[in-house]
Amino acid sequence: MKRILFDPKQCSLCGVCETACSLAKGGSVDADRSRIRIETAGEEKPLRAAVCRHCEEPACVTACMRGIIAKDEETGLVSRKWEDCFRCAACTVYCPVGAIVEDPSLHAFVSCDLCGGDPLCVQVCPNGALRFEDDGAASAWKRSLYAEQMFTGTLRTGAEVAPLPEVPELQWEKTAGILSAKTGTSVTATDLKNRCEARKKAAREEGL
Amino acid sequence: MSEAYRDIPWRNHEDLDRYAVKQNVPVWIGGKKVTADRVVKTCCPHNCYDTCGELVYVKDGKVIKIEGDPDHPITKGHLCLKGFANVQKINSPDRVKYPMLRMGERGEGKFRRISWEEAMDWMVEKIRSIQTAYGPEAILEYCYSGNREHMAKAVAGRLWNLMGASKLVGSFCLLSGVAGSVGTVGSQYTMDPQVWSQHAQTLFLVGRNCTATNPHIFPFLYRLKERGGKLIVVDPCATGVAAKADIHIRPRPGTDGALALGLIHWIVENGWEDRAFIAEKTTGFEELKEYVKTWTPEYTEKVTTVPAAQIREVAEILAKTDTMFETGYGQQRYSNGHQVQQALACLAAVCGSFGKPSANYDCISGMAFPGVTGFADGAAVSAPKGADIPKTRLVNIAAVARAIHEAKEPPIKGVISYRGGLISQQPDVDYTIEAVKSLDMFVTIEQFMTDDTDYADLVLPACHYLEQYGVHPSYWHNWNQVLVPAVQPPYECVPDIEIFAELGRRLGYEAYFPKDMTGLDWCRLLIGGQCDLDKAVSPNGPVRHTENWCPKVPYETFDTPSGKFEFHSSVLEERGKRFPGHYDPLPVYYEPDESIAATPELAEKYPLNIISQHPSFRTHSQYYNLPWIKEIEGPARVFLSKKDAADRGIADGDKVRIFNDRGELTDIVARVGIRLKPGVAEMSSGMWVKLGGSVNKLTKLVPAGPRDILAEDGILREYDPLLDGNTGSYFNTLVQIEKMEQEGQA
Amino acid sequence: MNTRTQRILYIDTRRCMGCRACETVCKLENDLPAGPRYTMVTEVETGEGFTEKLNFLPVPCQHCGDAPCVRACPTGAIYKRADGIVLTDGSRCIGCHECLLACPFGVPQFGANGRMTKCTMCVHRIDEGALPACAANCPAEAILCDTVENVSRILRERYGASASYGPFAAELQEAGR
Repeated sequence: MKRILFDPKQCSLCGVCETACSLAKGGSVDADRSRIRIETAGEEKPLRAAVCRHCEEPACVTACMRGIIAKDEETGLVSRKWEDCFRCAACTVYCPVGAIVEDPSLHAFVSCDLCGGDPLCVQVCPNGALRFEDDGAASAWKRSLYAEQMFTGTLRTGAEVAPLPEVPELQWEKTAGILSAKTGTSVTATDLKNRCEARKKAAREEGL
Repeated sequence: MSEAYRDIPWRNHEDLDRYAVKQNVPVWIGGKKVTADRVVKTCCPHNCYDTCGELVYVKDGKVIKIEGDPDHPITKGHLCLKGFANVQKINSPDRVKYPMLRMGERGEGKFRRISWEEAMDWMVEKIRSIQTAYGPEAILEYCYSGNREHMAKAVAGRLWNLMGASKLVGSFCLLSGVAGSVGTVGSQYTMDPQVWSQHAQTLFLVGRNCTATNPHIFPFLYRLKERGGKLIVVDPCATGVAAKADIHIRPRPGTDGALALGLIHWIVENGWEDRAFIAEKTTGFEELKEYVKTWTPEYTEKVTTVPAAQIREVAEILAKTDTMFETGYGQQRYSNGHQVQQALACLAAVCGSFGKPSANYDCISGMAFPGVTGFADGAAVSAPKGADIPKTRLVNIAAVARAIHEAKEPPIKGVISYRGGLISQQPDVDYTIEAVKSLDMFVTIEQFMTDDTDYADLVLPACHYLEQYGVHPSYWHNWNQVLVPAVQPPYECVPDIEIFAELGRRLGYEAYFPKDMTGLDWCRLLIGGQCDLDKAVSPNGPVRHTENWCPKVPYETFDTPSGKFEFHSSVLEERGKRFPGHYDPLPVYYEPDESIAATPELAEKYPLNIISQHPSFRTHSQYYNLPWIKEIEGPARVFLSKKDAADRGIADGDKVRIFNDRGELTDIVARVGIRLKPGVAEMSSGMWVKLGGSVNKLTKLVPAGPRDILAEDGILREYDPLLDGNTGSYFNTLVQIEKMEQEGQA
Repeated sequence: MNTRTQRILYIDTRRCMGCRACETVCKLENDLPAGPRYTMVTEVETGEGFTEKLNFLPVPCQHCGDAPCVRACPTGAIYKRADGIVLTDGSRCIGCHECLLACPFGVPQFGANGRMTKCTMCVHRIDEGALPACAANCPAEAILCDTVENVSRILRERYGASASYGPFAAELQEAGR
């Protein structure tokens, strides 16, 4: 199956993915409610994306006390009947990747549903740090990226702390356009830029 | 023993344990130790320079693993990606398992299983009726290099000879180059790479993408480079070996001959030629000198697009250092191919690069030609003593589709095809399919359901090379290993020689196909006393050719009428008086049949010269259907320069349409980058027509010279493979490429 | 552990020429179907004009000294052996793909059962004193498998001479010039 992939080296920490997800799924901009969250875990570790991996043996399925989370054998999708969630938070505690968030407006814990097969976060990511690929393509992509960096002398491993790449100026307008069209909410490039600055500031304060 | 075994008593090999290097030998499979019943030594008989030594592990009658034979002095225990994929190939569930008779229309691919008995009866009846209606020459074999070993071809040849069928001659791969080379040099020998890698100062490598076709040359290249030697590569593409070159020359496709003339000009202009060698060992230098006068670096740049400065630099290196010439076959896959090779041979002679351990000219080893050198005596097998063998007409393989279309008195009505992909490998696919459709009988002996089988009346299950005997001397190095079957044929597959022998017996030639002749007996007959065969049969081998077949320092004398290297070729001149074509005694340059310079009006419409290299992933069309190989290769791709892509709004990864007046290919993935210069596109050869990527939909049937066989419709009365040439000029093909509308775009 | 004495798979990119034999020898050795690719040869184009060049890099597991996949795995299914080889215990894998995200080289593969599997440096061969299949087979002799120290020595042997003595040094010496 295809999964959402994240390349920390290309991420600007702009938060557009979080904005898009919370807008599309919850109707308002609220990074905490986004089913994908870019985590900044201090200087030691690189950025990482906390998003449901649709595990083969999902801990959340085992953990759920009401049995409302299931893995579809055919599609591989891990999905939940969130209407029946009584917020015991067991799934959230057991999830090994921190992918499960609480959505107050739904009164439930929720996770990424891959937007039915065309994740919005991947579509709007202005730097191409997010991709939606199957295992083979994902691996090939990372291998090629590594080789390219090696031969062009731009290699650095994900473990190093390096300046975040900037989002190209033109990309903001384009991203805002896609976002507005897809969510039906008007979002401007300035909004996105401001949110990006705020996101980075918060991360710096956190210690990145 | 299964039922099938008893049905076909003539298809089985004798006890194979006798070939075991070792029995009950532990071997790793998937990280676990498995005990193989035996391990057998053999070699790979594909059409490739390397002819690798192999160790084949067998358990319960199946090949479970293949390794390189570490005792092979050239291939040293290393194989290419295809070598290992043979385990997947030989055990593939998609193998043709039984004889199958066509049910639907040609091309529909509908068949029903029949027994071998029925298949043989069907063939005998069909052959008899064609012979009666049209005469024996209405039957033709089609065979090429799927399994390039020579023995089975000679056995089949015995049957064609006895039947008086039309004979298939020539090669659509390299004989134009060979004609140019033999016309000037005479007999061909190749210098062992162990020798030149230790002595040469420069290696001049032309038209050979070694990554795909000659990977075992690399340790020798690196040895040369580590000694401080220079590698100069001539190739329009930035290939894997070009990436290792000190100098990469990128001529416009089809102009390698012009490049050689330009290099000769600059060498002669500066008086750097090897005067002692020229005086002692050559004739005709003055004529060549006169001809190259106009080929100044600037003029050469105009023709080839190679910068004049680079021509000067390279000419000086070639002349002033000990230069080893390794020429491939890419440079001669143009309609001027014979001339290109002739020019290269002349360049080597001007540099004195003949017969020294540090400097020689390698085109092809004479051992590559069964029955020409005397090493393998094809005639001993194919023309048995005492048999009444009629002299029949000859059909040139480089124009086989034309011959099927045009032959009269009699027309060609029956084709038996084995070891070759007629539809996918001949140029101009549509024209070839039309030819095949006109036949009364088209039999293919195949391992898989290929493009050919779809159009066949009868499909017979062929053996993999690990299931049959053979002799395949390399055309590059001088080591031999006889092919022995590692396993018995599976299902109802039958070794090629047994099919032809049985057919022969049923056609009334019992005396010439004794039932007790094994493959090894036929090999003995083919090789005669030219080498101690038993030393090359598993568990023994490989063995070096006896010294008379691989002189350490060849060309003491040249095997030409004058006994010298002939810049002005007397044999080609003489031949030209008898046959139509371009038998120029000098390496006169002329443009390929289709090119920006030769056909400017056509180039307006189709401005890109598409060339089709052999990729690592396949030997011609073989292996294309294997999951391992498909995974590595991915979808069919065409490589384009950044400029050509930008001009057409094509981005890397876009799907494109490639077309010309002969055909079109759609949904090809564009790969945009530095591999090619503007004006050139590259798409690898051998993809299957029915799977959508066959570049031969676009190529043109114009065999390269020197002989103009199209003037004779490919049907010949007399033919000399070493002087008449003929290569499919696959690379002089002009096309246009355009971006296809992507899904979701208006 | 001491990284200098750790066993590594080293790719001599000056030699790799993109034949991809390592890919199928690996499939055969490890009995893999199409799908998981323990190694994959990448092709990178660099330069402009006369410096244009194709580069090749097979990417098997790097068996990192400080492996990100080991740290990322939430179930402890990935571990580093005493000799440095990074291995996977498939029975503990839950298929969360964290390792694939963490690995800078895209090495973790997933078979039909969705569990992680990857290059083991042919540990079964190493344990019996044989080279990994890719290193044993490479026609260009571009894949080395040895300790960090020994790989360094081999490279110095390969390239030291040509760099310090210049073109045709051996011949000139022979000729007494």
